[in-house]
Amino acid sequence: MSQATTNVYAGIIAQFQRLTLFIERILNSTFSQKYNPFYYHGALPNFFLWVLFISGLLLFAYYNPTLEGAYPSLEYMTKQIPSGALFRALHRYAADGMMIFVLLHFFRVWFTDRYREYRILPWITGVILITVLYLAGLTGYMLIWDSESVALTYMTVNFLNSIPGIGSSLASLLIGGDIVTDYTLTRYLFLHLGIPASMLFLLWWHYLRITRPVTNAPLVLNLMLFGGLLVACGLWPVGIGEAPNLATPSASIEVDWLYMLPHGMLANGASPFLAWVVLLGIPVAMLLLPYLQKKQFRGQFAQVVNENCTGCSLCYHDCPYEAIEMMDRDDDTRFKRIAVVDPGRCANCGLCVGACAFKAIEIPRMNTERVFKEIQVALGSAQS
Amino acid sequence: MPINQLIRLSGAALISLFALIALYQMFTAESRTATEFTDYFQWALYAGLIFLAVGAALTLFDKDDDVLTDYKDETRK
Repeated sequence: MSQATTNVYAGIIAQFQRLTLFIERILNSTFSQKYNPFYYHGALPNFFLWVLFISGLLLFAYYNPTLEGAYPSLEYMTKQIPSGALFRALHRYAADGMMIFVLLHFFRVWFTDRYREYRILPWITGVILITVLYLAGLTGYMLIWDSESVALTYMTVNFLNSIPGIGSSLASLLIGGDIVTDYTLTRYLFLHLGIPASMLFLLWWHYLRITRPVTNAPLVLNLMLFGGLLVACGLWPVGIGEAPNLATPSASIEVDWLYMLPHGMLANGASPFLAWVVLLGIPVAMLLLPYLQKKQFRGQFAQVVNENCTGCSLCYHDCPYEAIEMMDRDDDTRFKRIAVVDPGRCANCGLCVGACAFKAIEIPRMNTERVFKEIQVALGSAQS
Repeated sequence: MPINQLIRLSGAALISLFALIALYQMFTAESRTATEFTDYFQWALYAGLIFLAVGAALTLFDKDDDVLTDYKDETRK
C-alpha cells in the first residue's frame, strides 16, 4: 500500500478504534469490567455453538432428508412434538447469535490491530471459520424445505450457474445432480453437519497460537445470553412456510442478511457479478489484509545477550508466547543454562526484557538504553 | 451513587420487574386454558426474562466487582 493510502486507512481504523473503546466504556458501566461482553467476544460464540449442537441433535433425530419426507418431518417437529418449535427457534436464533458475536469478535480484533504479525494464524483461520459458519447457516435454511427453501435452492443454483465455465459443475455438486432429487437434501444435510464438524478442527487451529485463549465466558454472561435467546424465541416464534412445490416455488424469500448476503443482493436487483464480487471479495480482502500492511516488525525478535545471561529462567517463565526455551550451555561461563528465543513465536512484546534482572535480553526496536533515554527525556520535559 | 452503578441498578430493576410479571404469569397459567399452558414460546419468554433478571442481579451484587472505575485508570487494582 502507498503511504497516502496507508495514512487514510490508519485514520479510518483509528476512528473505529475510538468507537470500539467508547462502546467498551458504556458496557463497563452496564455490566462491570468483570462481565463486559466485549472482553469475551471470542468466547461468546462458543456458547452459541453448544446451543446449536444440542438443539441440532434433537432436530436431527426427527428430520427426514427426502423430497417427500423433509417438509412433513419439519411440520411434525413444529406442530406435534411438544417444544419442537421452540427447539427450532433456539437453533435458528443461536445461529444468528453466533454470527453476530463472531462478527463482533472479528471487527474488534481488526479495529484494535490484533490481527497482524504473530497473530496471522488466528486471523486467517478466523476468516475461514466465518466462511464455514456462513455455509452451515445457508444449508440450514435450505434444509427446511418449505416453499421458500425451494426458492432459495433455485436462487442458489442460478447464482452458481452464473459463473462461466465451472458454474454448472458447482451447481451439480451442491444439489447432487442436474435436478433436485432426494440426494439434494442428503447433500444439504451432509454439508450442514459436515461443515460444523470441520469447525472443531478449525477452532483448535484458531487457538493454537493464542497463549491463553478464553474459550468460555463467565456463567453470568452465559446465563444472560441464554435468557436473551429464550426471549427472542418467545417474541418471534419460528414457524414453517407453505408446503414445497418444485414447479412453482415461492416468488420471494425472507432474507436473513447474516447468512444470505448474495441472495439478498440478488433479490434487491443486483447483478450476479456484483453479488459474486461482494461474496468473494470480502473474505479475500480480509485474508490479504495482514499482508498488505507495512511489515514494521518483520525479522525482529528478542535477542539474548549471551555474556549477561545467567540461565535464571525468569524470562522463560514470564513469556506468554512460549517463545523462550532454556538450553544447556556449552561455552566457558560458570552458568549451566542459557535462554534461547524462538523467532517464530516471539511477539516483540518486551515482557522478557522487564523480567530479566541482568540486562541479558533486549528487543532491537526498544532496547533498555533507549527506554531509559526516553524516560529521562520525558522526565526532563515534565520538570521544565 | 456513581452513574455506572445507577445504570446497572436501573437495568436490573427493569428486567426484574419484567421477570416478576413473567413469574406471576407462570404461576397463574395452570388456572387458565390448556392451550396457554402448552404455549412453549410463552414459557420461553418468561424463562428468558427470569434468566436475564438473575444474571443482572448477579452482576449487580457481585462482591468481587471492585473495578467500577474508568478503563483508562491504570492505577486501579
